[in-house]
Amino acid sequence: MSDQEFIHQFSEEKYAEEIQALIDEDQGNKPFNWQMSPRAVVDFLIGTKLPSGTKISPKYFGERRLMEVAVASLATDRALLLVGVPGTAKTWVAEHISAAICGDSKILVQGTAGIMEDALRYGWNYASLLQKGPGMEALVPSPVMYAMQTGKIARVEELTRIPSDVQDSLLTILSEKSIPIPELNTELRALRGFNIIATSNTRDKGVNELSAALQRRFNVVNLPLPKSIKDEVDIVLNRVGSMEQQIELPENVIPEAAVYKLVQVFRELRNGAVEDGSVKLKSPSAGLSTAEAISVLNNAAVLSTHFGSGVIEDRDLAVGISNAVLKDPQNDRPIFNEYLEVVMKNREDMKGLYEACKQQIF
Amino acid sequence: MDIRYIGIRHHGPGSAKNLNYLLKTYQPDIILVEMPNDVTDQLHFIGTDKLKAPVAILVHDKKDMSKVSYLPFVDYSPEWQAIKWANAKEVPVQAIDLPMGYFKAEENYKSGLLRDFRKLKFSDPLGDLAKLAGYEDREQWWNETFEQHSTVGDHFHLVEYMMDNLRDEHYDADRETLVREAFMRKQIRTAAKGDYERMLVLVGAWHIPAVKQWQSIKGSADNALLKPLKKTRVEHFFIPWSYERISMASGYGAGVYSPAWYEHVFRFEKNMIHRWLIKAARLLRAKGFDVSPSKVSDAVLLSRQLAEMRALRTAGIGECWEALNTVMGAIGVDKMQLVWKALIIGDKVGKVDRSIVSAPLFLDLQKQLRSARMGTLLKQEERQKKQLDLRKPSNLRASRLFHRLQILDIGLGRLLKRSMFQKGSFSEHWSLLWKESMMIKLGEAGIWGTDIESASSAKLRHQLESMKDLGDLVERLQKAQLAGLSEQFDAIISRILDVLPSNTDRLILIEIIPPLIQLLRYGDLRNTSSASIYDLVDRLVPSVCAYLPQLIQDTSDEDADDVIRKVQDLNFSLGLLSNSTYEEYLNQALLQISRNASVGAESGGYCIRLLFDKKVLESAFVLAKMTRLLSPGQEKGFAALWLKGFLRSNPDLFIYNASFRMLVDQWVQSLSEEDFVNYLPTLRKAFGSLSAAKRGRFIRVLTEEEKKSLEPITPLDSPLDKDLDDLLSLLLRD
Repeated sequence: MSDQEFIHQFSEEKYAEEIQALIDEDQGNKPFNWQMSPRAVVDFLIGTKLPSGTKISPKYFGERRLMEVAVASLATDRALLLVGVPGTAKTWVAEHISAAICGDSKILVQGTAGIMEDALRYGWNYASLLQKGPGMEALVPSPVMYAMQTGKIARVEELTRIPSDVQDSLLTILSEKSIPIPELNTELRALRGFNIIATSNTRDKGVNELSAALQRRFNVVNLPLPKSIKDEVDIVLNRVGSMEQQIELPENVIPEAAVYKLVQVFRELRNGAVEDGSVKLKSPSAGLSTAEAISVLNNAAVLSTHFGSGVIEDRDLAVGISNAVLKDPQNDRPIFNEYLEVVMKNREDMKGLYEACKQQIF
Repeated sequence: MDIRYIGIRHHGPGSAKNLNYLLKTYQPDIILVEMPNDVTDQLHFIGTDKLKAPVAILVHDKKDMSKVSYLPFVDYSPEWQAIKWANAKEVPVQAIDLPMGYFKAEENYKSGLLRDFRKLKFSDPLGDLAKLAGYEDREQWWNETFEQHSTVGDHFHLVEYMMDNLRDEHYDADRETLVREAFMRKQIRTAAKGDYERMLVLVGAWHIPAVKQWQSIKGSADNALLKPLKKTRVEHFFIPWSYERISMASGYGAGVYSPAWYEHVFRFEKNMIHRWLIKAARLLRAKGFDVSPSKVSDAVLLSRQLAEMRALRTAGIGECWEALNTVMGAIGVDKMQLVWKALIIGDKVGKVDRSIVSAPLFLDLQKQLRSARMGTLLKQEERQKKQLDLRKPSNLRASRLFHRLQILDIGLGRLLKRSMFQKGSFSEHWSLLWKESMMIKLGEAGIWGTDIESASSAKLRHQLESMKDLGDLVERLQKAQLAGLSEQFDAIISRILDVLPSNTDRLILIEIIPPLIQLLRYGDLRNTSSASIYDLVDRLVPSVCAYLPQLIQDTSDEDADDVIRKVQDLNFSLGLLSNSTYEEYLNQALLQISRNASVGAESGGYCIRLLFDKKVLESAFVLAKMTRLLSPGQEKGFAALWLKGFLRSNPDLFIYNASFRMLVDQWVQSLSEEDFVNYLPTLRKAFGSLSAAKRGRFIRVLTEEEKKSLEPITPLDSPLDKDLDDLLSLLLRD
């Protein structure tokens, strides 16, 4: 296995050393079945330097207090729901919290419209069922059930995409901390340490709104878009850095100035105002999240490495920016054009980008 | 004689609590507090029914009202508690800090004896200490260490010990602090000569090490330090204050960030967190949100967990707030904002008995209301409706008074009918209510002047400097007229001329002309002169008309409605002036538009109609143009919009002009079923403005036409017929 390389490394694999160091040097109280104290979990997310000198890299760029609230929720045995617009690192945060708390971020249910109850409760191995009749050995546990059995964290992605009747099966799991198995006249009770981290997208609001009963069982933490341009540039640089290694791009393909320019354009269009607030703009229909900025940069990096000069230039960026902004060309084109003419054109450092974008949209 | 030094933080609930405990056990027979010496005469009101906290002492330079300071008090200010106790026990209280008279004397800053707070960077010993303890800022640390917890007892020894060390070793005090402390020592020396047994000295913690030395430092040394200080005359009096003000951290003795929260901390010892979260839950329930008790207990748990993670002794404001937000989930920011305003900031407003108020603007208000025979307004608690006839001088004065108060941000009066301007009527309808919180604003507005007229005038002038928006500036001009402050007209107009060249919004220029013309029209009514407004209009009209064609061409179909309405207003207003030069400018612009093929349908139709009504274009020409536009080759949607624009100002034309009617009739009949369904709403809208009587007449005309469709058409547009029609519709109107 070890000589194979996977596209995605799980948090607990990638940061195994950091997690071990945190465990070794942890002085705080550990909730039952957690491998480290809540404070150490937050340290793992926000990054710090341990007394021994081990550096813990930051995974979440934003307020420490917010992460404290998220982790404290789990420590008080309440399920955690992370909400936010697309691209605010909900899944990213959920994965790292699970890895830090129970060393296993793989217990995952992906919420879709077509999901069935067995994905949250249990299913049956029909071959075994026919051969041996009903029994525990014929039962196929869901990831959630597995987490209950082992006292770990289960993650449910995109909770609001799951149909309401299926969502409801989470009710007993969260309030009774057990799953009744009427077929066997028994139930499975969760070990301490079990909990659920769910994520949901505020753009999908109203698709399958959580019932009041279910909502009551979750603590909700809202992950905001990055506050300052500096925060956002940091996030993008960090994520792009790790991607660079992954898709084996040479180093220094992505100059920091390009990242800054791109993030600025995205933020200004998203917020409907230039950074200092002096000019009001219209916002295009596209979300233009941080995550999208990252993918535009990756795209540009690949373009310039394989087809360009080897360093991201304005024209490489322009392709990605135009594609990201013009999701609904009819409406977005005038908005983008206005931005180009009113804002970009008058900025010395964006002259080149302006020209390149102009070529893209006409 | 025994002396106890109590180091407090202004508005610290923990300090106040422990101080109360100390007062009971120590029973001082004289109390000295760190407050400007010259306000001592006001302190005997504290604790009586003349004052209800939060209140503030306003101090201003006798000659210059703009030099003003506020000394706010809340219930849980340690000073307030101590003075209240002393007044109840008839124990003497003295304010021992440097008098405000020194602080208001400019010379002391020039000589460097006092410092200008705005220019100074503080060294922050407590902040450094907080950092050592692992806190982000010193407020949080001090809060957590001394104010937040209900450990009843005496933490003052600890504070004293800490300050002794800090002042000793690491930090030098600046000149002003030294001067103030010299003054305080001097006061202690004087008080110590009295026949007292237990003296309590209540000062900001930082000063303790210095004031303690009143015996070891020679009186003559302190006097030498104080001698060069100059003094000026000041006035001071109590005004009501509010939690909202306190939270804005203004003036002396630092504000606090969260007054209502502190009050909660001050009032409750046990289960402070539970009580607060329950309060929040009840508030949310009152706003229609289901908050179950289990949510409250979840929030309590979460806040405790957070406190533990942050290594705090108990949960504080941040933990409670975050816990509440998290368990309440997606409740909406506005709802939570409510909780924040009510339970963290608080909406408490203090009260000061009328008999002891001497804020100049309040006195002036009383005088003015009396002279308008509305003196009772200040006593009524119900909203009053009042109609003012502006032809009566006393009513005009009252109207101006209310408008002036509005400039000063004091909403004593709300103008009910804004239509007054358009209708040119002589009356204004006001809704009037005096609120105690307005006293605060009156006190503060004192920086602008000593009477309401000069204060509002000065504030208006001051606002101009930062204004860039033409619309806002014209609004100021209107306001100045309403408030009878025509002496500011020139200043406003020169500001308008200043920003005019940098204005890129062309639409705004059209928008500002009608109000300017209204100002000219009604200037006489309000006895305001308006020569300079005339000059401004004279300058604006040609340039507006010059770019009107381009503006209309650039207008998209969606925006057409809005722009047409503005052109309509412009036309109407210019008509009022009956100035033939202006008319000519406008007509030329409209003609240019009518000839431009790339102008949008609705605007195009409207302009043609306007020119027709103004008799610039002849009926034959318009008919020809319309025939062309409604011909089969023309796109139907364009034609429908054009008609809408054409009929916009007045669809009557079709009743009395058969040729136009026929044209449209033919066009409608030529529509396919689908087109008919599509464009019917547009046409309906166009005819929608007809009155019922006229609609009836229109239908009659159409049905008659149907009957004699084979007969030759008789034109109905003779002047006689039109007059008859108007007469009829007048008679038929209910």
